[in-house]
Amino acid sequence: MQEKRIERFNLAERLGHWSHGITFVVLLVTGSALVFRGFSTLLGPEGLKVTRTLHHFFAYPFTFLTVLILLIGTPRSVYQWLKECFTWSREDWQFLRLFPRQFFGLPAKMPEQGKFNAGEKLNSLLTIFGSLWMMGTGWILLFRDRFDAQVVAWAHPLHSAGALLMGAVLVGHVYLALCHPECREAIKGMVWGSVSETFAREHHLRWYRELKERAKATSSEKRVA
Amino acid sequence: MARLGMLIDLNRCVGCHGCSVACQAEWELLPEQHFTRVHRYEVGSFPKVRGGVVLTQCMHCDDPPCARVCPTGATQKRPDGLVIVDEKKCIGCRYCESACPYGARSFNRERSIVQKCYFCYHRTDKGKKPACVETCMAGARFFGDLEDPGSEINKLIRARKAIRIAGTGLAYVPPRNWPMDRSLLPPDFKEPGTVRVWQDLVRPAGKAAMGLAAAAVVTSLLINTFNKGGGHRAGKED
Repeated sequence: MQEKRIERFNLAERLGHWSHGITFVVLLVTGSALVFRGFSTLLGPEGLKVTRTLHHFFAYPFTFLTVLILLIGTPRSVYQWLKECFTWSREDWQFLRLFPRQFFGLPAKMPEQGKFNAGEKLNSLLTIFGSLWMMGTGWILLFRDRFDAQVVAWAHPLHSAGALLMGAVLVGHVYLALCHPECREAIKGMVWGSVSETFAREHHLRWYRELKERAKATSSEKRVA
Repeated sequence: MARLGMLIDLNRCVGCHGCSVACQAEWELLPEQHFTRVHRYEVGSFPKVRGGVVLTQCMHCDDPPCARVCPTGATQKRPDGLVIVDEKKCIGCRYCESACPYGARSFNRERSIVQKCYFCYHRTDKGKKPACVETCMAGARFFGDLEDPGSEINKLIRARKAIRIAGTGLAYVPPRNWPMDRSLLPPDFKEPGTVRVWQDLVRPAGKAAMGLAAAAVVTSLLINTFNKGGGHRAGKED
């Protein structure tokens, strides 16, 4: 029997996620061609000219596309998401404390979570601020002739630092989405929009209950009407 | 091994810009590009004012930060002291421009590469003088081996009491008739803080962070695979 599925992300949320994800990965790969010596030797000067052009080109969708999709496509869920990201409960801190145990396959009783668990919230915050950081330093480098030489000189190490840190975050994010047995269902939510009822109940109990209550409220309203 | 360098006698320089223009012609530079620049300065207060000229260019540093940050290896330090750019390898990322403590790098907009004074290695390798030395009508520029005590340049450095700019391949004869303000000359070499932070701190720490994340992922993957496999076998035995 097909298990009941629950919508977690609408189309605009998913498009926003993937426009950010794809542009970020392209920027990370093309940018790291300049950081890792082995990679740059492999590509050679001609290859590096291509990665440089791609890197400059993708700055535009990275900066503007995701924000446009999210703000035009689904402003209300963006507001909800941001609100959750900046609201940290005791359960959230508990979740973060227990997370390493779960990550390494040790028994852990995870606390109740909303639509986004504390790890997802942390990832969201790192993504928001990390992206702003990369955009700020990156656009300075792209339009370096309009900035003070000392500002440009600092933009180099700061852009590098942000990229390598965000790269480390991405490694963890991709693994949790694709490979970690406890979290794998989450990727379906980001691709098809819905997750299984079991996953919603087991991993996002607070959100699941809210949905149930809302459903009950609307159905009773209908009955009254 | 030799240590090739240049001596600039500021007593002799008349500020005619001949070197700057000869260099542009030699390297077919864009009009706004100057490998060597002529700066005018004034000291004192009216009516006792004196003026003079200081020439600047690539200092051919002993430990050039431009070569350190170059991701393609286009900028290289030669064993004879010259800092050169393999223009075919340059991708125009302009990292070197920010790394240079002397602002001696010059971006070629048309070719999208960064260039600088090469001490005219295509000439000096054949025993000829650099274009700026050859053209200087006042005889203010000298090129030669700074390590050979008997070389013309070393004799002149001693005779004219020139100031060697530490950590670089340049020496200046300060103006004789005026108490020279050392701050008018290029400072002794010091690696810029941004380059140190970037190369010695950010890169190793950032790579370590990425490595740690990857190691954690692999560990987790192994543990979970092992746990699942173990559980599966146990189930079968039951």
